[in-house]
Amino acid sequence: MLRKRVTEIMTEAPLDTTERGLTVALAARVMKERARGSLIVVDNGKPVGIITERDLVRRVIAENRSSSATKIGDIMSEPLISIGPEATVSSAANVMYKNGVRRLPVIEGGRLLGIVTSTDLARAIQRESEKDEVILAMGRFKMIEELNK
Amino acid sequence: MTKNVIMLDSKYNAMDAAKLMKDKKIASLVVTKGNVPFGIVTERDFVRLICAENLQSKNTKLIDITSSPLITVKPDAIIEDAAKMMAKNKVRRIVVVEDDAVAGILTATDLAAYLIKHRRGTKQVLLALTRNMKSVGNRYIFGV
Repeated sequence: MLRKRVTEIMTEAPLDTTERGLTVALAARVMKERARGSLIVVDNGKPVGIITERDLVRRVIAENRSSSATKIGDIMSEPLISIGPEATVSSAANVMYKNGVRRLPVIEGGRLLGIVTSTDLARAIQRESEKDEVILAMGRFKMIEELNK
Repeated sequence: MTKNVIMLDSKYNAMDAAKLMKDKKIASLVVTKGNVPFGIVTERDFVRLICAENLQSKNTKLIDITSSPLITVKPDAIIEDAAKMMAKNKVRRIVVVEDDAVAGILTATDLAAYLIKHRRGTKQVLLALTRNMKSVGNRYIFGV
């Protein structure tokens, strides 16, 4: 499992994205409606940054900034910590751990191919530990939902 | 579980709560009413209920974005049962309560740390799930 490529477990593009010049309110609406915890920021199609729920809480809400007057470019996290499509599950896990992040966009030549999250990694190990209830819970529960269907 | 749970009374506003979460580097707060745990507020609640609705955090009462009732376990609950409860309720944290008082909070990150300790699952992946948080006393602190 650890030697598998991230491309086998990632969420493939097209992903929900946002842009520097758009407002926080608009991005938050996309996050809400599409049930996303983050959005990649693109500039002319190229991935340049990311906004997460945490960024909005700490840089908008805690500062009492207006969501409709604050631009994504003012609060996004950059540069983007990313990996290439040849990266393995193992190397993705290491990059997440070392940088303290839960999401890694998969990028090749400036093109966004997909995103791999710590939840995707947890789901990958679920398949090998299918009876471990704690590991099942880690993978955000999809497997249990599927089993209950 | 994490014993030092950060709590805030429901009389405060959403900006106060966000500031506290920022200062303490935490992703959720237990909201109390009087001295009794009443509900919980997470980063997601702020995004969906304030930013997406274009509200001002200073003018939004904390109680208006708080999820209640709390999903709780007792301190003597078995970890596997708590994990199942998280899965069933699709939450990443469960508040540990005894006699109406908060004894701690159990998060998905705590579960990953538990699995590493007991050599279950794949360590490398579980480490990624703990996001390099170092345990300081009973609390996890980001980016230490």
